[in-house]
Amino acid sequence: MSIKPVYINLFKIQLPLSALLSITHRVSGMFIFFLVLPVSVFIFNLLLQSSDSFALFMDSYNTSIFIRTFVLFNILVFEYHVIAGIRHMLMDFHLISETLSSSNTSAMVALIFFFVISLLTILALT
Amino acid sequence: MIDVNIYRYNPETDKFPYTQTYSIKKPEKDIMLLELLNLLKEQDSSISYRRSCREGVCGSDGMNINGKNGLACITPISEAIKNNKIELRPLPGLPVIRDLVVDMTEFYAQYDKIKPFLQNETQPPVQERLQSPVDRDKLDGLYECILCACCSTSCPSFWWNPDKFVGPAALLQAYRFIADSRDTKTAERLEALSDPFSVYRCHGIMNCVNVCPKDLNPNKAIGEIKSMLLSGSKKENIIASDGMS
Repeated sequence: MSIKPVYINLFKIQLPLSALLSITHRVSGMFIFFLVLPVSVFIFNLLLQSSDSFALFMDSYNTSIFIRTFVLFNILVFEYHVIAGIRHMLMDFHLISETLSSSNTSAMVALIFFFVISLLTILALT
Repeated sequence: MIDVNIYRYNPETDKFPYTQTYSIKKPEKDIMLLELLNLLKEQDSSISYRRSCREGVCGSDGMNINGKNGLACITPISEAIKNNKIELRPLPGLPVIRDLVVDMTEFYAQYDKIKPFLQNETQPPVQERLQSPVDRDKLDGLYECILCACCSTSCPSFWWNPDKFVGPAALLQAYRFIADSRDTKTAERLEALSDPFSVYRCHGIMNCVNVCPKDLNPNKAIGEIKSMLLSGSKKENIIASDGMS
């Protein structure tokens, strides 16, 4: 018997906004675990090692647009993950009612909240 | 004229599935999608799909209509037509037997797993086990499920783990028996769902609620099961709700 095909085409299947939030929450979580966390520990270690290494990092941070963008991106991913995660926890505690409309509304609120926070972060770091 | 794109696959002749486009004159009346499929079947008798009651009761004709799961027999074509086009594909995530017919073995296996029958070992009364109207109300929004599999096959968690994650349809039924005042195996039922996969793969994306043709809310039932698993709260504390989304 041949293997039966399975139809899954994520570009054709409709998913609600809350699905997008949940999937990106998972992806950002992986990103944080594998990239943001080790890089942060490395930078933190660098900053604390000696005044020279502190100066070296701050110097390269101030001169290199690449490092600045990289740090900013890491912070934004972390903020997104925290905000989407808080929404998930509120749902788990039944603090957001489990209806489609309130789920979509809370997803929208979380996204707006993220955009405001990221705007503030960008303003603070540039 | 409207174009109907149908997912085609015949295991005897096709190596891979493909999309076939049928053009048909737009019917004057706003008929249901299933009727349109019947008209197309007159054109091409090889189109395969399941159907039975043609009124949204049997749950046979669940399919992916323009990317959203639903029952063809209760979806008017006016709702389904997008840009003079209708896209019909099989329920996602289940093996395709032929065209729009999927193999629902995995789906039924999960339903079987939750023991979908009343369990009560006490001596039954002469006539029947009675239930107060208040307790009966707790089953509203749970018992109406017709097992069409629209919800489970729209759930990404079920796509990735159809063998381990019970899925929204079967979990709704699990909660239907957990909430039933006449069922005495509540602790055993919860214990059977306490592993990391059965319930906890649900991340509340609500697509089950989004697609349910009977307007039920499996996500709410799953939330209640999660709470009962964590707090060990008792059946008596369940509050009736209409359960509808």
